[in-house]
Amino acid sequence: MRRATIWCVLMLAGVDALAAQDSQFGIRGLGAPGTFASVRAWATGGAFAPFDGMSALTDASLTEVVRLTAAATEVSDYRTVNDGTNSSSLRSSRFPMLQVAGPVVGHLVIGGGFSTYLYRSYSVQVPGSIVIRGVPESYVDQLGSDGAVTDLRLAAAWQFSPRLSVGGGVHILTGSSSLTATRLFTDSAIYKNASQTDQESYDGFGVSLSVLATPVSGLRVSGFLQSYNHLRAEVNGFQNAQNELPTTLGGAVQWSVTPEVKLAGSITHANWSVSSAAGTAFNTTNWAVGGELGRAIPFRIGLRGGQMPFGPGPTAPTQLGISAGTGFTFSQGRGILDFGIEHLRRTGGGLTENGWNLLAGLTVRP
Amino acid sequence: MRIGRRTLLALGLAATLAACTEDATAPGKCPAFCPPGQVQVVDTILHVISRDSSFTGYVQPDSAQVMLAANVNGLDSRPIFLLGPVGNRVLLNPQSTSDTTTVAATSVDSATLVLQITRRDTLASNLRISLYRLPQTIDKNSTLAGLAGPFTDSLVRSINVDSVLALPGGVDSTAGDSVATIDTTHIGLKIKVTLDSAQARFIAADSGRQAFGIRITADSLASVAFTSVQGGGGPIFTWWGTFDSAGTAVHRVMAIANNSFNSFVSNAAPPTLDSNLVIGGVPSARALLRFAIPRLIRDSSQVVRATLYLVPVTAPVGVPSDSVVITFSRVSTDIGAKSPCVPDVLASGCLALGDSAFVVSATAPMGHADTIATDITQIVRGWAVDTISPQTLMLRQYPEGGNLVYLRVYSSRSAFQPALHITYVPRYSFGNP
Repeated sequence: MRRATIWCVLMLAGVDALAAQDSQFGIRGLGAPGTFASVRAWATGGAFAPFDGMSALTDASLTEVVRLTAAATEVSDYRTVNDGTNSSSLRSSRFPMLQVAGPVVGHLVIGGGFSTYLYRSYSVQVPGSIVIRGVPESYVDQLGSDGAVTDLRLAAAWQFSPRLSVGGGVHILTGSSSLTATRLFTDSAIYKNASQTDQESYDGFGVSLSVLATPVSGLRVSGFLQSYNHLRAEVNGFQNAQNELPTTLGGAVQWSVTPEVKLAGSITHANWSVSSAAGTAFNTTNWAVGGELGRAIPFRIGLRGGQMPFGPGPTAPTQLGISAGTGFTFSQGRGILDFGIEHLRRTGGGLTENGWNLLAGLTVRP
Repeated sequence: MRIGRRTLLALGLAATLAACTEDATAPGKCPAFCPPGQVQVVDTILHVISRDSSFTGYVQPDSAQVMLAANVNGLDSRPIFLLGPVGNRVLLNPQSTSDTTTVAATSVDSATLVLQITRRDTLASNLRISLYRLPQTIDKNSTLAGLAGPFTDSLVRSINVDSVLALPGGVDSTAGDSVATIDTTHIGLKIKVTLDSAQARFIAADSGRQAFGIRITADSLASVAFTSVQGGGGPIFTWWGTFDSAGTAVHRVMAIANNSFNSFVSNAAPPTLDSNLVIGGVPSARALLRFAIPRLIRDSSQVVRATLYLVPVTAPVGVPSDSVVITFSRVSTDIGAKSPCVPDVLASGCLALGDSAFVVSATAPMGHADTIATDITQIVRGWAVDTISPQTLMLRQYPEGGNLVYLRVYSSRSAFQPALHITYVPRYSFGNP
């Protein structure tokens, strides 16, 4: 089992360099928002994220961490994109989250790590024709971005009583994308190809506050707020754009029916319309419900839905996902392997995405 | 429980391993699902020659890669060459590495001269090559007029190239001559002329040293380029002798004479300089074009096609096979007339034609004054990559000194100045994400 642990760590480490691609709905806009959920929470549709210490959605949930713990998440997605004319299959892998947390003194727990705030990886091919020197020339433009906006979080949570925890955190947005624009002429013997690569870097700042309460035994509620000032983008050291970022409000409830049966639901709202990014930005409301059955090898299931913030039409694109997963401990409970699978469907502006996300997570409690 | 964990572990890791692939490219549905910017293309004609000039006197006839023979349109050019001295003794046993005994020829009974033609007009008929004996005093100062006497009264032999080539195998068994094509285009020819002892005339006091000249005639289009020593060939003169082998006369090669000098003399006027640009001729002239491409294009854009236009002042006149081939070469540094070319790191000399990032060529056909368009895309792109490289092109004739015809084109001081037709992609603006 120890060898398996090492192997898993190596495998997870090996995919961190791979590019991510989350959604075509993030091309014209700031990107596709991340989930801030660990694999365990993701498998419940994200409904468990406000109560999960290894998810980055709320800070108060850090009080769930009783000893030093680190968790990493790996996601592979297989998508089919259909725009009504063309259909293409895409696949990618990403390493969207790494969190470390542990109690410091008394009831204070400090944690942090990085998680993907916005996915900004895509590559599109656009064929066309242009008349040059009196002769029509065919070409294919390939426009791409490979990168993400990453949220570096430092958070603390204090458990005032077994029934009340409060948390707060500061967030630094960073990250970069490798942007490419290439024109490939069909008649490459006459017209040479043109290719440009630039590095776009991002920065921004945000804060978060959250509260986790247990009003009655077996029932927990969570409220949380995330607010970011703006996302500044620089290309080759010069500011390229500055976009306001949303404030996200959310609430969640979790009910422990029995020690082996837990149900949860959550809802979030973000005012993405403050952004001035290219394309239309919409305010979004997303919801999730899910449950976990069993303790040793639990079975998790979830459903989530809502809206995407960027799209071409008059209304926000919508998304609906159904997920399932499980996990188990090893090495006397010092390690946890979680797996999950999610089917996700996104529609809007005449485009439909159908895809599967394969999730793998490793939690280590040394 | 143990089986369950193993199964989960295997499934999970298999899924993780299978996920280590990437395929992120999809057809774009624009503008709804494309980045906001668009790739633009600009096509324009610029007069970007900031300074240009011509220089003459580069390659002299005795340094050219070919020896020119012409007898057309009043143009008269004749190759001349001087053979070095040879001995009349050979090794008695040449197969032995230790036996250094030599034996003298009892007589010098013949010689063969092998010439190689690299350029000719295949439409020329009855091409005849006449070999004349010249004084051994020929040198690079020799002139056509100065050699008029020997070229009149010292004919050694003549051969009708077309007639011999038409014979079976290209061999004249009576005279001992032969003509063979040396490439698939049938332009290049290898000609062997056999001289008897009287024609070869081995003078022992001179150790066989002697000079020859070549004159050609044809029904039309009499213009031929023979390979010179500088071109990797040159006339090969082989002496044959008779040797006494234990009372038996044996006929064998006595010696192969070295070319100690080869050149050509002609009545062609050397190119003269004026306010326009001149390229080629003998002694050869070169032109230097200095470009001032706007930095917006050179540094911030990507050139996808660049065509240089040169307008001839007059159409070159001559045999079609002598059409003027011009090479456009980047220079390592711009120091005017002596600007060195970009060296070939794998061989000696300059980078040859074939690497379009450094050298390209264009042809000005005889009798046409059409604008000469040359694709210099890779050269201009190279200037963008190596920004300290001089944006200068040296224009030479190819092979330099190998054509009596030169080309005169309008300079930047003329209304028909050189122009650069350039197509470029300006810097793409990735825009507001």
